[in-house]
Amino acid sequence: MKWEMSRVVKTVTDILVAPIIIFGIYLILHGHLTPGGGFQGGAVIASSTALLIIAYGTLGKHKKDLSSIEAVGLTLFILIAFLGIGSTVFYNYITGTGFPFGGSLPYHGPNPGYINTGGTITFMNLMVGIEVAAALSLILWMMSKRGGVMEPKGSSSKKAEGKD
Amino acid sequence: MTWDTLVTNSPTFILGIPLLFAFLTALSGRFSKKIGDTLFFIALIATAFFVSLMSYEVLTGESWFYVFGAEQPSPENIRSFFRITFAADGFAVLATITIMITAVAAGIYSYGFMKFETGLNKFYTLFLLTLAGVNGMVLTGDLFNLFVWFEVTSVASCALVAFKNYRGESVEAALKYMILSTVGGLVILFSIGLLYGQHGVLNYALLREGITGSFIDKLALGLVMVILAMKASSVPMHMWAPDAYGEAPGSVTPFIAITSLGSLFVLFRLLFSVFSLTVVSGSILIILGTLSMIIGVSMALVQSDLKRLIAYLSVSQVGYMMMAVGVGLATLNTGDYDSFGELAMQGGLFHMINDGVYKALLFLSAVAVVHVTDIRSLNDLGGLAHKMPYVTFFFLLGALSIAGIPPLSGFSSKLLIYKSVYLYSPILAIVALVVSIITLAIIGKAFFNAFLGPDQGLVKRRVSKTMLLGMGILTVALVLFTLFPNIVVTEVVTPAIDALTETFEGVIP
Repeated sequence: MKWEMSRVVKTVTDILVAPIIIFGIYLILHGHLTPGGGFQGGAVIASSTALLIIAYGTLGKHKKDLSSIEAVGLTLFILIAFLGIGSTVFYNYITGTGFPFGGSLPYHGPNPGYINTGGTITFMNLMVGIEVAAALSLILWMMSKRGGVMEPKGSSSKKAEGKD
Repeated sequence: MTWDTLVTNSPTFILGIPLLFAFLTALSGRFSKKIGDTLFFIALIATAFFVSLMSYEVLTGESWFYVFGAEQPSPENIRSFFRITFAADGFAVLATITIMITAVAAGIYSYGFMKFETGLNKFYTLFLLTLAGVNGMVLTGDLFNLFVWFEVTSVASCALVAFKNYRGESVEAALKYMILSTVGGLVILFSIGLLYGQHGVLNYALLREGITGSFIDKLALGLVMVILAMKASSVPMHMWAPDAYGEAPGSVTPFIAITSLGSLFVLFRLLFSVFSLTVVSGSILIILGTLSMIIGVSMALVQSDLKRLIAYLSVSQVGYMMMAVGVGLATLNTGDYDSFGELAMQGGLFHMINDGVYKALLFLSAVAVVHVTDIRSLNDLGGLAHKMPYVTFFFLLGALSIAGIPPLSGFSSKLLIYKSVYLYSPILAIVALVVSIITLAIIGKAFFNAFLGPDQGLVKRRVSKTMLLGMGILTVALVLFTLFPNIVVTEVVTPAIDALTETFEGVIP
């Protein structure tokens, strides 16, 4: 069944998607300074996907891309954690070094909100954000269709799509 | 990176490698199936390598507390950190070895068994996530971290049970398992909240100092104990186990069973190391264990489905461990502990590592029978020994071991249990003996029905070589335990008991 929303809904969606994604990125990057963080920001980004699915009824052919992005986010998260292996796993090895914006900052005490005070936490938030955004988008995409992730032998994904 | 760094960080590699490769296999599914297979086996072998590295270090040198995110892996004073800690001690070694033997065997077996399924890269992802979750549960030294790994294990193993989602029964079994696990996880979270509100710490070693046996402590202990006993498929809460074991894809059935054995390890760790209410919790363990033995074996008596029969037998085997360790716990810090309590602990923990091996062997050979014949009912099977000599041999070894027939390793651990439990209460030992005899009758009936008799021409396809290799690994482990039970008890089981009873002495300055 193919269905579409009215032009009003589509236009409002087109306008709103960009601010929603930017707000999500803001939440992710400031996760170590303000309420929010990777999960919340990712969920906000995924809500833009929900909007797109409602307005247009489809995401195009990006299902496999989403699951790859999710896996990449998680892999990078673990790699960032393991880079601290010289001390211990999850050791925060870039606080106080000024990476990546230069200018070493103290990581204690109040500050006006410098992003690179969090060290690895910022980057881990980023990876969690990527993972959650992709995973929740994928879940919404799955729920908007009838099929499951894993089809039984013999019924290919093409066939399952043909049914809709 | 030096060798010492690898050794000190080995507890994190045991978790990190399965997690990393889980996501890499998910990613590789886009490109080729072969990459997924290769990555899966690399992950299994690397995890087994780090388990043996950690075991060697703990058993020959010292055990250590690993603090995540600190500058030094084992800082002088863990009191100053609100950080996740891992306890790499004798008990963790026993648990991870038990888990890894089954995981490697089930992983290799899966390669031949799951060849014709689709979505295998997702299967590998779920398998590795479950492995990381179980290892995390037994390694962690932090109560909230335990909850996290508990949930990881629950979600991943539920998805594994439902993997063949075109079969209605699998989905039903997974739903049952999932509802129970989710409720269980929430109850554990609630009791962690109670303990944190009361004592303000989550670390096992620090928490132990604060536990006094107040009403809140007892409430939290009761909640945690019920849920972990449920996950360990102890009797009043065992109803999910036969469904989940019976309906999971064959090759991971022993792996689902290992998650429940992992929960039992965690239960023992908490009862000994965190809660010091020994007599009460020991008596509860004895009661639950005795009930599990009797009810599990009497339910197995009426089963005609081969996998469900073994599932109920495994419920009754869990009873042996709970009863033996319960005796050790109830007599802890009394004079009886030296005379028979420690012997009971040795029997119970040795039985756990034995049980992990022979139960997996039984499950895998039963699955091979179902795979070859497409028949699950024992009434329709017969005469398979003519066409499947290897599988017959593997099943016979597992059957004799689960029934405790003298030369095999099941006998060594059961003898320790009988000897020690008899001194605590003769009735318990008699119950254990009778249950063992009934087990022999049941498994003998199953063996006779499935394998002996004239050849009925039921064999439809061959058992692939990787499946035989998976069972062969378990057989080698079983034969080693059979030949050298004394070495296993002194070198592996006794350090585990010491780790439990010394309860992190020397960790906090």
